[in-house]
Amino acid sequence: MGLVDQAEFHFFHFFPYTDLPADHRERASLWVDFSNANYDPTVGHDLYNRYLSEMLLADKLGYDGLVLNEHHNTQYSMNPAPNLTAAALIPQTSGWISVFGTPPNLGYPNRLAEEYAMLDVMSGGRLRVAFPLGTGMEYWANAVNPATARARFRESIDIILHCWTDDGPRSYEGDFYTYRYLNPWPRPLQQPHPECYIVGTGSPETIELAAELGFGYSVVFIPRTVQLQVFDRYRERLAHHGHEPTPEKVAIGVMAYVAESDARAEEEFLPHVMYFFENALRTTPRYLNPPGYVTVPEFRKRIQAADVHGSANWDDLVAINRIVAGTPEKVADAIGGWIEEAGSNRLTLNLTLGDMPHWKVVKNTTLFAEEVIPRLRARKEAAA
Amino acid sequence: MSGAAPVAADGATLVYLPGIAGHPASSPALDALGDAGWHVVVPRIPGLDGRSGFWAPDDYLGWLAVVWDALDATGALPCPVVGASLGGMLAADLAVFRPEAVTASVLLAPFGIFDESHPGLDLYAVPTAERMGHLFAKGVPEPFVERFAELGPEDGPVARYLCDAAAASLLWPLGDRGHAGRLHRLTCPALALWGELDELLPVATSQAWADRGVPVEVVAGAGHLLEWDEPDGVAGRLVEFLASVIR
Repeated sequence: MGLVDQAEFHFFHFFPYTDLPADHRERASLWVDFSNANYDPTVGHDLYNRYLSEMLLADKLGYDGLVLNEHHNTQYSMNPAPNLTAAALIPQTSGWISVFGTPPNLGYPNRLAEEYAMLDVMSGGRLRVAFPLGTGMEYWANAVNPATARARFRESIDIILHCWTDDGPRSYEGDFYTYRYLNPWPRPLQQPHPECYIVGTGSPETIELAAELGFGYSVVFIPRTVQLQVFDRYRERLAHHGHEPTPEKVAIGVMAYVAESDARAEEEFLPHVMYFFENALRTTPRYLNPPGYVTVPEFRKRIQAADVHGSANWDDLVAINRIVAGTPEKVADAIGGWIEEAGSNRLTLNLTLGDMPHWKVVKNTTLFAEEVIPRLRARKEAAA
Repeated sequence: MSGAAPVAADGATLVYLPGIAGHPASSPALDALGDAGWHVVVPRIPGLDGRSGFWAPDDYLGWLAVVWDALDATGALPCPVVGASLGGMLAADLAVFRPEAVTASVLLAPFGIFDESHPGLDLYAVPTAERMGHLFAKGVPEPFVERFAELGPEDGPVARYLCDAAAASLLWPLGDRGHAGRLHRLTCPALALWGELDELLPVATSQAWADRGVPVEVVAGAGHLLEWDEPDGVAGRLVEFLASVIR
């Protein structure tokens, strides 16, 4: 069987707030200190309803699952509490719900373990989770010292796993969290716990942590070719720790747009991709890298790397990311290649980006479901 | 600022705890203290020296233990302790928690109390390359311009990052470590000097220290690291104050 046989297609939504003031382009950052006075709750209400409807459409069209994530102090995402969104989706959907995810060190880990267990039980075992360290920007927005972020991150995950797998009550004495009675109700329906991923940017520490715990791994905002090196390293470390490097362990992100012709697809997709990279992601190096947030090897990497947060060129973006716009055949060809190249059968699909209007999201999501996924599925049948 | 002539200290020891940017070199102020007969001991605070292998303790109590270990290793205590900026924050707590170790406490624009009415500049929200310029009112002294330059273009930035990370781990996010609730326990002779032009801790924030029994004097024309901006004035006042309280 090839990887495409087993591929799962998950619909990801950032829940962006796009009704920005005209002068927003003059700001160096639309994160951290971009005032929430620019947020209109009545617009937000309409957007929540719209975005939820787009996720429900994806579920009805047969996508394998829906994906949410979390950010703070930003127009990039209206999902600072994605578990609330997941809870709203659960009774209306039948596929996987992936919360990819909440940085576990930004709050109390027992509380996050409880929330995930609730979602898993409520959904009948349809929850998957990822543990991100979170961007540097999250540490400006939350009461956690970035210098201790990584140590706290690791301890938080340890606590969550104990919450899910130990018969309580038990005590836990950590460096950051101590419990006399760790005994959360409920426990997850999936045993021993929902499938877990680490989301990172390819730092050796997060790769090692994912491999050690036997978690899946997903990377964001690093070039595709570098991702492949990261995945190789991750699989090597996974095997080292005695875990089988199966294809579902690696999740890859794809930005795709499908239309009647390549030219039309590009014309309809390009402005929103550019908006996403130029505006939604726009922030400054100082917010990306609060002091102590990155390790020394990661710091060395970052001062040499190009800044992808807020600058963009279509050709460069397409060259270094998994971005495709075109006919169903073209999109299917590209994605089939990326699946094989990465050795992954878990796709997180960004079919809506930035300020894309509703009609394009509906068009793209529908065409992808009806024209691209069947083409990829047909390849396995043809191969058989 | 007093113009009184320095009083010879006959080789008596004092400890200096450096500020937010570390201790790249002895300042003219410390040199003047030496000229006045003081033996100035500057402990090596792990992290602020930019050396790799150190990572921030989990919490402030852990940090205090690190600093106290460094202080005790000098063998200088008990003696007067002068602390600048974040070193002032640590010096104040040394006097609060270990009163037997501190015979006099001089705090140069100490962190430790955040005044939301006068929040000051968030140094870490300033681009890295511009940060030094906000610490001084009279230009960045050469030792800070050249800080870690001897390590070369690859390792120099790493050392600066580690120093900044260590300092920020003590100060993030507001530089408030609850001193307002315990300064009443600072019982040794104490004096705070504050730069008139301090951008990080506007001079109005010094009132919180004065309200809690630490006399405050403002140094005209000086920024946050005032001992660098006004070395003669700061050293002169230090010598005078210490002479008045150390018998």
